[in-house]
Amino acid sequence: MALTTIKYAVGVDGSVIGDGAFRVALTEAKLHKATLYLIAIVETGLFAASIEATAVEKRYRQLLAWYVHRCNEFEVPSVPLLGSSPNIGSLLCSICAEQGIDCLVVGRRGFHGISRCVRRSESYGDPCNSSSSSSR
Amino acid sequence: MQQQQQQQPLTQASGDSSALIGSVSDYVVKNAPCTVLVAKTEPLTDVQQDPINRVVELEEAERQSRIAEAQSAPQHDDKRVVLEAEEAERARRIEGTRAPARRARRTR
Repeated sequence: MALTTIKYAVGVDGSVIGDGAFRVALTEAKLHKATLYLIAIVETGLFAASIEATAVEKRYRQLLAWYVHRCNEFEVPSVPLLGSSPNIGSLLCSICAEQGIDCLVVGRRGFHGISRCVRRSESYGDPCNSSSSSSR
Repeated sequence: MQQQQQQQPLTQASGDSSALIGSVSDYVVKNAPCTVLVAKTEPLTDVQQDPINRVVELEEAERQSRIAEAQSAPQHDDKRVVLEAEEAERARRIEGTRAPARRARRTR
């Protein structure tokens, strides 16, 4: 029976939330001796100008280099992936399917007041780290 | 069918009509083909600064340490070693010149 490495993935965007998710993913990957896929996706679309997208892409490249450096410090093998899409969630899911990711770590944004009514977040109500599994 | 589902707008994909805009994490929780771990964001600390700033800080610190290494100790130490060696050599020479004179005095 061939041994397969567990694959963790984390979506990073340079935000505090993304950084928190990265730290959780790094800890999990270290614990399970897994490979960590670092996924940064540049949002493109109607409202995102090409110049801005290029600047964001450059920033994300630096960001990925930094996260790879952090992974090397903790002796966790990492694979940086950079993509661009108008629908970040969709691309994130398709990357996970293509790469055969076992566990994806995402950060959650806290919504309050009016923004909570307008923007719903299922993950917000959980007081701690939570997981959901999919059989697909 | 699956492609159609992926092409749906985020709000429909998240499957709740009460929300006008769904978040990426919600979409991923609903649609990801793997286990999804939703990480809790901890309160702000110095670790959670902008990562890019930290890259710049790290590079700057490395550069400074390299400059400091290049400029400081080794050169001075080398000079000091050379000076000490010269000093020892000079002392030996002086001692060498005095020793025969002493021997001559003793023989007399």
